[in-house]
Amino acid sequence: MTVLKIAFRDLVNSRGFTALFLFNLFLGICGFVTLHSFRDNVNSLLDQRSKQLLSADVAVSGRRTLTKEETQGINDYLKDKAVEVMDSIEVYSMSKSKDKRSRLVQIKAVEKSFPFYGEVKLEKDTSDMEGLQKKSHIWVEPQLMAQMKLELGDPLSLGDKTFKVMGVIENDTSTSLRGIGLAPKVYVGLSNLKETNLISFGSVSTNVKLVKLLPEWEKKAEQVKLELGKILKDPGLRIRLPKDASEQVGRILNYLSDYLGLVGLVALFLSGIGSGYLFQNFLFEKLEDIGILKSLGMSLGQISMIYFLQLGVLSLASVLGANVFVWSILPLIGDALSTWTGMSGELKLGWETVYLSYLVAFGASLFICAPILLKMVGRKIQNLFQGGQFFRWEFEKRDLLLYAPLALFMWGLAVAQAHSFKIGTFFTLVLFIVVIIVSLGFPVLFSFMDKRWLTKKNLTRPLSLSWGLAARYFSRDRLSSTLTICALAIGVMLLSLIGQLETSLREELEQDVGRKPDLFLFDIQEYQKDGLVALAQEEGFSLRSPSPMVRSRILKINGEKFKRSEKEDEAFSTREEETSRRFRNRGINLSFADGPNESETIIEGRPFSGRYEDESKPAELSIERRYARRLGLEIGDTVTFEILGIEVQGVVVNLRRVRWTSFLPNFFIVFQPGAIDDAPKTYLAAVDSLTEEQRYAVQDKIVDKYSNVSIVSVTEIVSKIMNIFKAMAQALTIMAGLCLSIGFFTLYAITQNQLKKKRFEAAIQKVFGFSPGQLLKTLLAEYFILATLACVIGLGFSVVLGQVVSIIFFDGVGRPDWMFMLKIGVGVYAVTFLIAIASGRSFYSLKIKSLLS
Amino acid sequence: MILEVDKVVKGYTQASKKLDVLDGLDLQIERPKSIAILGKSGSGKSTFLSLLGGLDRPDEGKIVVNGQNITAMKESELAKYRAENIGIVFQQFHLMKTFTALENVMLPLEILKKENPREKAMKALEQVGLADRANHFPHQLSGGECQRVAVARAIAPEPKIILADEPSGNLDTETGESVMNMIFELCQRRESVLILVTHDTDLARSCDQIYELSSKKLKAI
Repeated sequence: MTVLKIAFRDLVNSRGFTALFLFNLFLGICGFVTLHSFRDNVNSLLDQRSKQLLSADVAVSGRRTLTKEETQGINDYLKDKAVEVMDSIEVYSMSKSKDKRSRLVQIKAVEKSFPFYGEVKLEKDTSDMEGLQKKSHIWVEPQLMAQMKLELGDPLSLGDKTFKVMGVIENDTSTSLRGIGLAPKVYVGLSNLKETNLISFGSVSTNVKLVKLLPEWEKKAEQVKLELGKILKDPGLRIRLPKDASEQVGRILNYLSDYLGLVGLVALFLSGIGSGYLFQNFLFEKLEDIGILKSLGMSLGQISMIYFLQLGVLSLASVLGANVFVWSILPLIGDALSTWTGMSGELKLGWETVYLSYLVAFGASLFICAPILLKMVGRKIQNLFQGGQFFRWEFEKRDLLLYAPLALFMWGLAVAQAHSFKIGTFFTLVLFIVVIIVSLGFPVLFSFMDKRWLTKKNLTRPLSLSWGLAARYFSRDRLSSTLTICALAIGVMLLSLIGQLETSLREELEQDVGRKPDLFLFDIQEYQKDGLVALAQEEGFSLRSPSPMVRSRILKINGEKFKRSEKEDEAFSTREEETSRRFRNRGINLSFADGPNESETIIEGRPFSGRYEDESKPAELSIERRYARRLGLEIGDTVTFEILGIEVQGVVVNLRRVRWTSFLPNFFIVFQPGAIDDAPKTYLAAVDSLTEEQRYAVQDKIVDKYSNVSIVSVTEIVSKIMNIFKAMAQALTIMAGLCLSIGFFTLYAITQNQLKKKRFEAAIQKVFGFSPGQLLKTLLAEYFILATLACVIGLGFSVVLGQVVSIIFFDGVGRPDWMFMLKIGVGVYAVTFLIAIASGRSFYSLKIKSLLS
Repeated sequence: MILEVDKVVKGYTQASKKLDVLDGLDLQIERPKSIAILGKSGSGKSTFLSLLGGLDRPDEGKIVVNGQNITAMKESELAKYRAENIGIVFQQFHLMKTFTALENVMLPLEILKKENPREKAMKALEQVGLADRANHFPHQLSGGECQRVAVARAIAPEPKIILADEPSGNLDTETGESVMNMIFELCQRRESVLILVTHDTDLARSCDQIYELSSKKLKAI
């Protein structure tokens, strides 16, 4: 009881500390609560909509038509479990209007029962699913109407058939992320698709079987999935439940929230630094009290409990504040979510968010403050009675052990937030390296400066007096200087890094503008290839890299059977595991070529030996390096493929680096020529850069002659990627801004804490003849040094990290965005000076007498 | 005339009530000497000292130091006046905690842009017997040593007037005596006026002249 009383009385009587600590932790935890709530709500909305997204209880899909045996197997298994099974086909194709405009569309051919769950609502209810089946009707998304200047009732050709636009889609519950798809959606009756002749060999189409289970089997959907998995052995066939559909949709949002989570973690870490500093100063004030309690017989445990209780209460109050704040901005989050995803619903703040955020806030403050507390409480009583004035930190190696729990806590949180062991670990390492460099490097540097320069320097020249004094203050008060540099530098680094990455991505996508193709062609049938080349010559456009594409699936790797990943339902899996699973479970497109094209480089192994002739040996394979890593392939490994029922074996002879942003036809697996040349195939090709007018003209001509060939506008894709990245960068910038704000708040809190000392020092300087102007100059010089070091370190690190990311992801060196960095620098100086002037104002004008008292 | 204090009035407002501390106080000092000002706690000794040092301004009256009326000076002129004319020794030492002993002594010299401040500060430290502690920080020094550093800081720029506010108040008797002897000796050697505020009658007797501050006025004893 006494412990409780002391703890609360202390907090109430230390209002300054309580307010600063609360606000600091509140800022730090706000990011975490916002993100957790965002993720929670996305998942909850997706869960609610998951059946609508899949449109069924179970869906079996593959990039090929199911064999008779497979269909029979499914039907036999489901005969007493399903209400209905229906087919659906999705395929990309060019659409053509009556004035010969053409656009790529995603055709979704469905039966009249579609969807089992959800709806496809049309503007003005101009048609229904029945109508879509019987007549040559199609429904299109509004963006296609605008792009092709269509009106209701206008004809639109898909492949060899001309349809009539009879509906404009107002709401489609099976569409998830708006504006991110490759092309606008067009609904067509399944029976009408055949007449388009779009489903020929090698078309990039997806065949889906949608299943509505009987009510008693709905709950056993997992079992159905498992059993179907045993019947359909091909890993290229996917069996999905509603939650898989929502997971797939949520993946993009989750990737975003993963990275936001990491930036939010930095915010928490920075506020932890600020909290640690405030707590340490609070304890300095309490050293005598601790001495008294000790001398009165209170145990170390009881004394520690007082301060742990205080940390618990402060964490709780700040977490409640953060949760109330986030609850008040939920409508804003809802609007953003609705704009991005089209999902709307009532957003809630779950209890899970509240107690998780409390655990994180309390954990962070405990692991940061406990080492400080333990070092202070453990001092001898006579030392405690000296108070904080003469307390000096003496860092010993064993102190590292005290901070080990904090390191582990941060690492664990980073991995959990990023859902990635690699990214979480990399992130923690970078964070710790920055902290170690700053916290160990700077004191050493300051000490060196002191010995070599400051203690030997006379500050008599007019300019050097203020600067010299500022440098002395800065280098002597190492803890405050180091913490403020650390807090500001990390904030600056994050803000700048996001800008660097945006610039790098833009440059990567926009580089070789003249050389990058404008159109990307796929689904070119073998018999159409020569005709297309001839058309290109005739019309004067250049067709680049026509590359064969052969569909296949992997049967064995090094003689071992290649299985579908069975670990799909683990509660927690990292993003790496998810990616690896997706890669394992999909069919693979092969190609064959003499060697690497202009966007490819062999990084390991040797080039192909020539044409494949010796049929007793496996053919030579070239594998894209990241794909090889995911499948665990190395030089010399053998891979067995199945191409239309025929087994073909290959041996890996080289690993390739591919610059995917070249937008040329590239493949994960390339055979040496002669091995699979006779396999049925389609072709991919690119069309060189054109003006906008030419682009549409060429596209229209190709579609006019080869209606099944699909064409993607690379320019539009690049602009879509940039728009997505910009939206992500905006969200990340807000979080990085939060970090920098915390950095500034830490600076403000530290400055407020030092005011007493600064007032005293200012008074002494005034006594000996310092004018208010000189005082201000000295203070500004001190903050100038701080802002400069924070900018140099923060911006420097952002450039280095930006380069590392550019090398890892883009295989190239990025160009730093100097203008963006300059803007950040100016902002940092401005805010730092503002804090300095606002804090210093209180003692420039005060009389010396009151300052000294 | 080194110092002339003419009908100085000073009061404070506390809880909307005006309290007069000094009322028509006069003092003249024509030549270098040591003066003690005695008085009870709250009699206004320290207030008077802060007016002489230009740390505060009187409500009425004037203070003239070496022909300069400091009551009419602007803040920046007062700063210059303090730097050139006054050395102050406080009861609580008031050293810069992040500066070494030498740097503390150098500070007024650097503010005055004197030549060779390091050498001059070192000499002042030698005079107070702390040359070997020059690179120590205040938290590494004893109370007596801190006060000696404060004395060295006060005398280093060779001011005409040294104001000492209970300089031995925070020290034990022996250390206090030794510090005071040192102050007297240095002031005498440098021909500075020493104005010592104290309530220690024995210490006051060591000065050339003693005043008592009572009933808001100075009376020579």
